[in-house]
Amino acid sequence: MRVLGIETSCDETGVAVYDSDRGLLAHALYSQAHIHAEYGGVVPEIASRDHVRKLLPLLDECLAQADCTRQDIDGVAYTAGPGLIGALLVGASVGRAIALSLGVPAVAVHHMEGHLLAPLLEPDPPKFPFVALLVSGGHSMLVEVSRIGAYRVLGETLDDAAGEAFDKTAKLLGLGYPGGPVLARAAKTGDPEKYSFPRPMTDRPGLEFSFSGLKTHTRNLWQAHCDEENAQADIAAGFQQAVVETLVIKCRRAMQQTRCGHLVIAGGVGANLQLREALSRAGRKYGWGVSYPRIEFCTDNGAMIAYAGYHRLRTGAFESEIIRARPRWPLTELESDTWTAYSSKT
Amino acid sequence: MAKLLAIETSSESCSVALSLDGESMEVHEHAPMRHAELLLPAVSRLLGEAGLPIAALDAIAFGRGPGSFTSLRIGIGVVQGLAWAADLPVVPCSSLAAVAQAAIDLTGAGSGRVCVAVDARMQEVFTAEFVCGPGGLAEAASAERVCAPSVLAHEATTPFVAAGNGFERFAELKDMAETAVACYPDLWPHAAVVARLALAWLEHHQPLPPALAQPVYIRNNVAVKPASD
Repeated sequence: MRVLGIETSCDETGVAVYDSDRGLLAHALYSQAHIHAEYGGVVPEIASRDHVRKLLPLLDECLAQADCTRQDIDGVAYTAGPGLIGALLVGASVGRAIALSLGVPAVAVHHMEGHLLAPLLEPDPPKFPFVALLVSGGHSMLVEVSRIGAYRVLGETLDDAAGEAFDKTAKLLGLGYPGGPVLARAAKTGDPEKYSFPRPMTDRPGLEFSFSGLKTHTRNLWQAHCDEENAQADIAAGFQQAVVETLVIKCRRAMQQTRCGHLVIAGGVGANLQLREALSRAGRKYGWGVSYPRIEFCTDNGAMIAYAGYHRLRTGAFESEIIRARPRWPLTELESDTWTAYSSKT
Repeated sequence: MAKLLAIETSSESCSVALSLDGESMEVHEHAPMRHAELLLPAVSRLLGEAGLPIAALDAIAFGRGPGSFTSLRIGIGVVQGLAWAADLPVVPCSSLAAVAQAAIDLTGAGSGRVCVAVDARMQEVFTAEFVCGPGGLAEAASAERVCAPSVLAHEATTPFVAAGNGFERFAELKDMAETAVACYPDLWPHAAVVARLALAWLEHHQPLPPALAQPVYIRNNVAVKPASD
């Protein structure tokens, strides 16, 4: 079965073709980040406008790379949420219409399920069950994945997502957008021990995150010390280290609690090298396997949607002719692997 | 070009038509915020009733706006998907022209110019002028623009026909409509009209590839860049 995947939930247009026998045949991505950078954050209307411009050329490019034609497509998967409603609707409208036009089934994919399953696209995929740390601009959560379709949320952020905290802190320090890469770059020349930072929510049990206090702490530090030499880099380094250590502590707790032997890191913040190194060290120390999707599959992409969609389609899931997009769609509402359970909550 | 599917979703109505050798069937529903739900079932229904596979169409016509951004993109996303998958070309049609055409159909050829004003939210209207051209078809007589109702109201001079919901939603335009030859504030862009205008367009133009099925927003300043320090 050959599945076309379409991702348009935020500021990246991603498409891919996944083949159940041959694996991922091709994927193509267009990032709008440079456009939104001028505004200091994602502008939803601009994101929607860009998706509707870029999606078809990207589909042509991807099919050419995959060396297949439209008639080779056996199913269409598109991200239906969570995300920006206008942006989601572009991918959902185009994707659902392609399926209707080709006379093949369509399936609405949960963006987070895509991220959770992305590591399975790698040559040496993690074995079930595993714990996934999902950290991106919109989400921070720890999820126990016992098999495809069976997800238990162990803990979530109570306020800002980790990526959001990076973005806001980078903006505060005048480093630009998107915050993750620019802050990590600035942190390279900084001393993380120069100023002290809290490790939020680590002094109490539980797997919840909170990053807004850390953000406020950073703002106060910046206001008090911005005139000091190298303050920008030192604060960036201290902030990054605080986030990384907090995530490592929570991951360790999740591994202890679930007794899983494998940790998977997914989502855009998973591209942060310091986080990767710290979690790999922890894995070696405590005896867990640690795996990451390749960097390009940490951030939003069409490959993970094609892959998750394939598994949904395989179990008989299909979308009616109603084009559905859900800006808010808790992972807890994504149950089991039957479409009835999937759709009865909508 | 005898077999056209037409989709028009720029307004609060969701409108789909199938035009076969000049004869058209239409599913048109006034259903604000329900385009995503109604559009594809209407397409399926029309094609099913005609017993026509999508690939048997010659082209897909679409109302390209201006209008409500989100519903417009749902319609155009569907046009893109249907056309791309079936390798069909597309034909754009102004959504304001579709409203003007409806007014011309009601008043006849001798009614002079038609001023269309459609609620663009943010206390503005999308507006343009049309005249009745050859074959009784609406022909653009001005550029399309977005402006405050008061700006448009001040421009009223020669006899005109008023069309579009702007003439009932804004006090200035209600006053302006009093001086009109006729006023039709309840005309919506219909897909069957889009199909008719698209057929006329095709007499002088080549249809476009699917990726050029794009909205015309008119309002393009949708965000403010932060001032640099």
